[in-house]
Amino acid sequence: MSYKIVQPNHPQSLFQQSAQLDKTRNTAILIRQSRRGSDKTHIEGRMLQESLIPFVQLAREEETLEHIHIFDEGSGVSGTKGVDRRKKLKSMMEEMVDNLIGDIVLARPDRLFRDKHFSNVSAFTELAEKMKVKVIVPKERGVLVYDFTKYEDLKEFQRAMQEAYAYIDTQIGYMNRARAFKVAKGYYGGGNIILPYVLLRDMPKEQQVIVVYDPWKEQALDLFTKFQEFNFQTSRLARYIEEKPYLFKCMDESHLEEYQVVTTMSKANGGYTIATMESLRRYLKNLTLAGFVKAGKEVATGEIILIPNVIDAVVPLELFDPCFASLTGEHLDGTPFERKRHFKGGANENVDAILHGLLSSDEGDIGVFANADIDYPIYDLRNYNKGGIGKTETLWSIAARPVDRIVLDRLIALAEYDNTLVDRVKQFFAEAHKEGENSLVVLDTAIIKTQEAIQRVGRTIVKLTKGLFDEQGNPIELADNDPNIVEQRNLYMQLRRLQKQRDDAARLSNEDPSASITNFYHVLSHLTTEFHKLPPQTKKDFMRRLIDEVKIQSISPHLFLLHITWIRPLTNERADRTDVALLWRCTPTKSDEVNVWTPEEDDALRALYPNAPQLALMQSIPYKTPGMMKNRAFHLGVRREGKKYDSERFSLTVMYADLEAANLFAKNDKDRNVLWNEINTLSQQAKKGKDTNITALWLFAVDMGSFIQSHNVTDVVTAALSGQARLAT
Amino acid sequence: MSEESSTQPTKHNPSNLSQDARNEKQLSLFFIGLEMLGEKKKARFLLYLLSLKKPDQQNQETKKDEL
Repeated sequence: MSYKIVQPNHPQSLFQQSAQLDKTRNTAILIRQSRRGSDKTHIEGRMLQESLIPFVQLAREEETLEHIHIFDEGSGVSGTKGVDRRKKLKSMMEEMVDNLIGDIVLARPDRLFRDKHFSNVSAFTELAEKMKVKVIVPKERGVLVYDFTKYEDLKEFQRAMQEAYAYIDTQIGYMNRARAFKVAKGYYGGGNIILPYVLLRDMPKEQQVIVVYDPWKEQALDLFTKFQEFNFQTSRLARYIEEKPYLFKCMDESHLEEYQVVTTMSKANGGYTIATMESLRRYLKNLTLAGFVKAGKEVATGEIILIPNVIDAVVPLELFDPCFASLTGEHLDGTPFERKRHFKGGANENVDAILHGLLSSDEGDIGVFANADIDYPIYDLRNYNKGGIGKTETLWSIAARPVDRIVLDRLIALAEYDNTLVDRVKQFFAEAHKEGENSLVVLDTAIIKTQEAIQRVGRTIVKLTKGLFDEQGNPIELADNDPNIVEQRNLYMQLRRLQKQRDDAARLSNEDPSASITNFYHVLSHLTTEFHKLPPQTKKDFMRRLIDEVKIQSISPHLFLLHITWIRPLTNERADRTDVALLWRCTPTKSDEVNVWTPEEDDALRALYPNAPQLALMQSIPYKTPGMMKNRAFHLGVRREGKKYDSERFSLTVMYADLEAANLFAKNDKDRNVLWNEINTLSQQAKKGKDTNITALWLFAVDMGSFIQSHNVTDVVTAALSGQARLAT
Repeated sequence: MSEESSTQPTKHNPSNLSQDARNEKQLSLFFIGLEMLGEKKKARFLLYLLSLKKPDQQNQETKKDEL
């Protein structure tokens, strides 16, 4: 008979005397504060979390931070958010998946999540269990260690997470209810106060009330009156506001002793005004102005409780209500707002512009606009909120079709000279980089857990409504603002965000394009004949997979620079190649310098036009073309004397401003001559018309390999490289 | 006047250019292109060019440097 002696498996206590960290992997520290600005106002909370750094150093017995990864989310990040809205948390979880992290040290478990449905918690614990990552929370006399491979620890952690959410439900909920109660009685409950309301200073803090500051009342009323007069057009009201130096004049010193202004409204020219479209809309929707106060939410239905006549109304309800309804779509009693609106022909959603969403510029945001009637999409450089409230300034526009054609022709040229290109691209995607894969694991786990949470809430909704019918026998549905419906909606939004991030991550991890684009490689092999057959959106997706970055910059009235960084296998697998082209647009960008003749320019034209050489004339009037000068001279009655044609070789559409802009790129006279010649040729080739108004000069040979290995240039290139390569490395 | 004559473009047919002239022009455009890239992209582009050079060519240059 043989015996086997076994030791009883005593469950290890969660609480341990000292932290035994996994030194074969890094230690993560997660720092987070919920309220924006808490890092300054509640510095002790921040300091407590920062004190984890020396704690980990001590536990690891290391002086450097080399193996300590700090994921500092800062302040203003709610624990109710998941990986879809917390980049640092997502990075940490990606490192968990990559087996880089052994322990996560937190000041409190709730620094991770305050999660009602456990979709985020369970995604985290599942990965932590799989990768054997422990959560460590230092306490006064030891540490709490959550080892997720042990079921008891997992249960304890889940309990801690329930407590974390309960804090929001009970503590924060209590504070909100107490505040609502105070506000319902007409007292100031904290936060900003909309003008013309102010606080009375000479009162105990607990009994402070808000009052209307009479000198500002008329102005507030006027805004609503005008809004109604303008047929509820916020843009017209914005222009009206802009014409005034301010809306509410700053108080006199004597009044400031009596009243306190608590506002975030912009201060300018000795008064307060509204500076953005968003704040204008918010102002016109603010129920306080109609004398209402918000007293929390109805727990059962989620409806906001409004109490009328607690404070003095500034705007009568019959004026406020339609303004409110025009912005929210519903009157205060819930009836829908109806108004005839005249929509202009909007942008075609399916606009055929292959660089849509891909083309960018350092000068501002590039949008794509197309009027469906004329089928003429344009890339538009816009500066939002510049030049007025809600105004968008268009700095320049360029026709999309010819730019698209130029880029596509270049791609065809690259593909035609290199018959191994398609195979290289195929191989590149087949051996896809693993960079994005960890992200995919984190997001896939979060997606599954969110879907499970949605199902749980769905089941609750079904149980609540099961067997309920209205008088006509129709099943009763929960109201839109029922807390369960709101939760379900929020979870669906979270799921959509996660799925979108998953799509992006798939692209970053170089998922094979043929998985999402039918016949991708066939089209790439037969670009000339097949590309134009693709639907507009597929064309865009196609280009997106082949181009890393495409940027455009206006450098003069007629000239643009276009930079394209192709994906590596398209040119060379070991380094990035950026192509650069100089684009000529036959119509100059509109500006006063181009459009208007100044008296000085007229004087210069009168003096120089008869005899000066063409270049001297252009230099003296840099924003006018020889063609413009010819017309202006005719108008002024000035004639050119003698034949100058031999030396007048710039085309009638080139400006000196264009040549001067190009000069920046030429390092010597020889290069300048070449460049000016090329610009002249570009200007002659461009013809007014939908598809021919832009011409391009590509600066680099399609086959750069042959170019630099050519005997005539290798030495020169090597000389340039020897100086520059050091800069690059 | 002399400056103008040296900077004025001449009407030409590129196919009429000699091989040398074509090479000169390509080289000029190449250096202009490098300037148009800007410092950051230029540095990366030069690395790309380095990667295009044939290994035996790079070896020869290394030997030259050693000498």
